[in-house]
Amino acid sequence: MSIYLEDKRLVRRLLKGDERAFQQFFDDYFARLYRFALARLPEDSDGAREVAQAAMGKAVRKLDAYRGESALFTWLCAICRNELADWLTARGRFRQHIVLVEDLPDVRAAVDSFRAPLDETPEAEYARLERLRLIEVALDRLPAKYGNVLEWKYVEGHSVRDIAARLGISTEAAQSLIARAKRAFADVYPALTDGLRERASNRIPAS
Amino acid sequence: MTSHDERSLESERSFEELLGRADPRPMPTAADIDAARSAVHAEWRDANRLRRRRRRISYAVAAGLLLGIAAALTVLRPDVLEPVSVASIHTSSGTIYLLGEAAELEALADPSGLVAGQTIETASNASLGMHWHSGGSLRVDASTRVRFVSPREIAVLKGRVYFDAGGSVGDPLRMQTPHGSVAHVGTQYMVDVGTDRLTVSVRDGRVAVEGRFHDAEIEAGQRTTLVDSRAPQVVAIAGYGGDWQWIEATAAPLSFNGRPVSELVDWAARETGLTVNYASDSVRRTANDKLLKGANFDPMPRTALRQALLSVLLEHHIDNGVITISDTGARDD
Repeated sequence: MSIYLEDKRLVRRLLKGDERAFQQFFDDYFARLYRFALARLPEDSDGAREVAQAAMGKAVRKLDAYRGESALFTWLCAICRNELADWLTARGRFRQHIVLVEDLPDVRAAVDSFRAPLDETPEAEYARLERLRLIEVALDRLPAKYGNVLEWKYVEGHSVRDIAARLGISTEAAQSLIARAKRAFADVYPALTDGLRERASNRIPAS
Repeated sequence: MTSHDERSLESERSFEELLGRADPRPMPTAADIDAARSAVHAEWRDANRLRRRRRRISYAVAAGLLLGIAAALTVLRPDVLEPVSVASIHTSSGTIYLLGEAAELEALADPSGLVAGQTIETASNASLGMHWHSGGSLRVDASTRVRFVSPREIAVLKGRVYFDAGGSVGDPLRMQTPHGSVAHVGTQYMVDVGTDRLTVSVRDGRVAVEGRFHDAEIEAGQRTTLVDSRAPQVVAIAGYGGDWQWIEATAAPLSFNGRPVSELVDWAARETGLTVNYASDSVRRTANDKLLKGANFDPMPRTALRQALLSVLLEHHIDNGVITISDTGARDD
């Protein structure tokens, strides 16, 4: 719940016209929305950028509609889905009949609530590329700072000291941040892989 | 990646093995980020202004102002705005493009006026000078993209602009950029938007800059550069020549027919950033008393200055930012 309180605080600052709040909002969410759109518009980075920009534009106009009942990123993704549908329709393109695993209702609920239990071990064999894509999805579902430090450390191979310097914090603070990010990732990622396994074993059809 | 490692994601090795296989997440380009930031920022500011206006109106209704009800209903309706004229172009060279709804650039067909909501971009060899209807003169250098947000606000998305407040009063023109915003206090100043920095130079007056991480206020003869989260640097600069020179080509063509020579001198000084020194009182009197004839002066300020002075047997030289005007010594027989 603390996540949503922070989100509500950020939105309140945005509604008051706080410039730093705007920069934080844009820096935290634009790239993630871009990737959200890009996953649904493969090979169309320009389209993904347009959709993400339109979604953020609509979001800032509707800020007073955000109630804090879901994560701000979840709310933004909902807006982005609508923008994506409009964008595709305007160009005479129709949504591909593919459901991304993170859009499966149960998976989405688990990911968005951060209450996914670390229960079963995934038993099915996962397509390597799909698993890698889910890593990207999981990183984007975390608060921006968490996703960034995990990517810097484990994907790009930066040291904790480098990460601390980049964030302007002490090494100890960076270690603590990485530990919290890992716990959050450990909550989110299995929910995605569980969804993938369930689809594979139950043969959930694409719709 | 083994099942065991996926189970125990708390171990350092499991994180290294899992995430080590991933590539960095795709990012939009820096230019796309900057453009999106500026566009979303402009929408956020518009939306906040509309929300503030709605709150003020709802308070008025609550206070029982019957006439306010009709006005409130009109304002609260989805915006159907008539185009709001913000500027008229007085000088242009090269191709000026208008940014269309699908982000395509098409040559500006009607250069007479510009309205809020339009975005223009100058070609690599183009420049533009316009009367800003709220007061002042806005100049746009080559390879520059500007969005006209409202009569009081523009967004400089890339490139270089110069604004001369020209003694206008009222709310200052506000410039938004990807790196911060700029507002003036009665002045002449230049804003240069790079991919990772904002540079503001002041020729006259004072300018307040609100960056993403730091703010700065600078005066005439100063330049500040904001780069990311670094503390802004302020350096002393000259208000003429060098980086200012392009502005002279965008000066508004004025007619000085029947006007004193000194008016053209003052205009040339303002456009070039130079100061004026009359060599003697008699030279000053000549400049004040002699009237110019004809409307054939060159649009470039320095050339027009020379032509105008020679027509009344005066001459000038420029040294260290000062125009010194003296008598040619010829007699007008």
